[in-house]
Amino acid sequence: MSKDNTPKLPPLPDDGSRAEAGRARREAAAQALRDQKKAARRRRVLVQIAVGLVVVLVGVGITVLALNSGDDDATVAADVPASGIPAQVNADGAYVTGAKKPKVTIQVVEDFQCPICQQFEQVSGSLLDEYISGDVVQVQYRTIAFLDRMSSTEYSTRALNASACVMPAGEDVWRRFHTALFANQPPEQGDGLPDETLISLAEQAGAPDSVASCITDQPYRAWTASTTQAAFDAGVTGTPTIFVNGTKLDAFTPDVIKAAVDKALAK
Amino acid sequence: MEGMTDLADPEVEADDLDLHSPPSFRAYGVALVVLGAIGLAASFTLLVDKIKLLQDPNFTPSCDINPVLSCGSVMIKPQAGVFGFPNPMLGLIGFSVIITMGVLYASGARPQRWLLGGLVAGSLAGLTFVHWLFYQSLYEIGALCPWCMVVWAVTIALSVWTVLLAGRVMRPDSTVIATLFDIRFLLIVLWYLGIGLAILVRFWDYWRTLL
Repeated sequence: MSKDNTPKLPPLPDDGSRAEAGRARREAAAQALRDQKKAARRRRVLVQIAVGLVVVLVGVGITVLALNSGDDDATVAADVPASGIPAQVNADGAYVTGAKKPKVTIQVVEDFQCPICQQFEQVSGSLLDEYISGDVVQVQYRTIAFLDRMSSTEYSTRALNASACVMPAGEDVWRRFHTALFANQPPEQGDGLPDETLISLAEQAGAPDSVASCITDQPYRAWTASTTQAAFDAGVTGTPTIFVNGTKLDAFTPDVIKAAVDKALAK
Repeated sequence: MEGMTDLADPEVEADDLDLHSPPSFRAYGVALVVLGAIGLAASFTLLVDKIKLLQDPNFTPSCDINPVLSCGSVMIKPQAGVFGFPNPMLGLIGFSVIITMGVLYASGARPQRWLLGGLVAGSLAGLTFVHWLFYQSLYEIGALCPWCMVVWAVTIALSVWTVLLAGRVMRPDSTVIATLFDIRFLLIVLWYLGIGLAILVRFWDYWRTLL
């Protein structure tokens, strides 16, 4: 093509700056797109957080409400008729042994299904026996039943009911039965001890024959639930828990108990 | 106008319509390192506690908090050593591999695809095992071990992420997988919620005593 054929057009900007302008525009467009995507991503994250929070709150809320309404049994159990409460327990639901007018009171919170309570009985039982045979210290056995899920037969509850059945037979019989229950404690995740075994242990401890029907009929069942709830309401969080004159001990070794008792006596 | 043609560029437009950004391997790598490190720490603690428990049967593990939250009672159960050795040993091996792979991805390396497949297989095996342990812990043993639950949590998170990332790589056109990948955190939270609710229901008789 000859130069003469070139149409008369306004002068073009030189190629370099044209390309630059295009690049700048593309970059601006790409930046806008990136910003847009970023905003979309942020929106997506926010929506996820919101949805997640709502679902978690609603899910937990509904479940807790449903579970709470299932607890009505337990609240009913709080109004246990007097006939369903063992006559021998004190206001805390504890069986009282040892000194009648004590200078120091030891309260032992246990569950017959609790393996650490069994260890506690092995390690500190003789110290408690010593105190019980003296006349300064009172030992209150506040047994609760919160480990029913550890056996397929609600052993915690049945054992506590059985313990209440043996109470009328007197302190010596009850303490023998108490010792026998821990000595024969069934393993967790098992079937617990059958009623027949509870009955024979009670009779070996010296309980009268009438104990058999009490163990099978469980007249103290509602009380076991209410006394357990009362203990948790009073600040017990697990077993064994030892109170000396109302103060919860950090540990339950004989040394710690003895130190706490001596300190209380020194006052 | 030239500006219009620029925006109408088919390539840009397609990209614009696709709101799902391509998965970031770097973020995945960082997640693997963090989650793997947490899992490794938990496994390590569990194994150390197990050894101490063997040396001294009266030893109380650091996480024996209350009757429900207690490693001690879980650790001594046969389920804690299904394969004839303590489970946390698997964790030590598995999470070490996860961390190594995480460092690789986080450093910008792009290993062969089949490596991602290996991670999928490994994390799914872990996920299955963790859920079996979850079932055993709740419904057979009846106690929870906090460090074990940390392992459950990280295994769930890294499995979800790994599987969805692999899905994105294998099926880049699937909008379903892309959407699932985008909401992976929500999926993980929902998974945790399911487990949390199961725990809430199972141990309600204990939790309510704390109210």
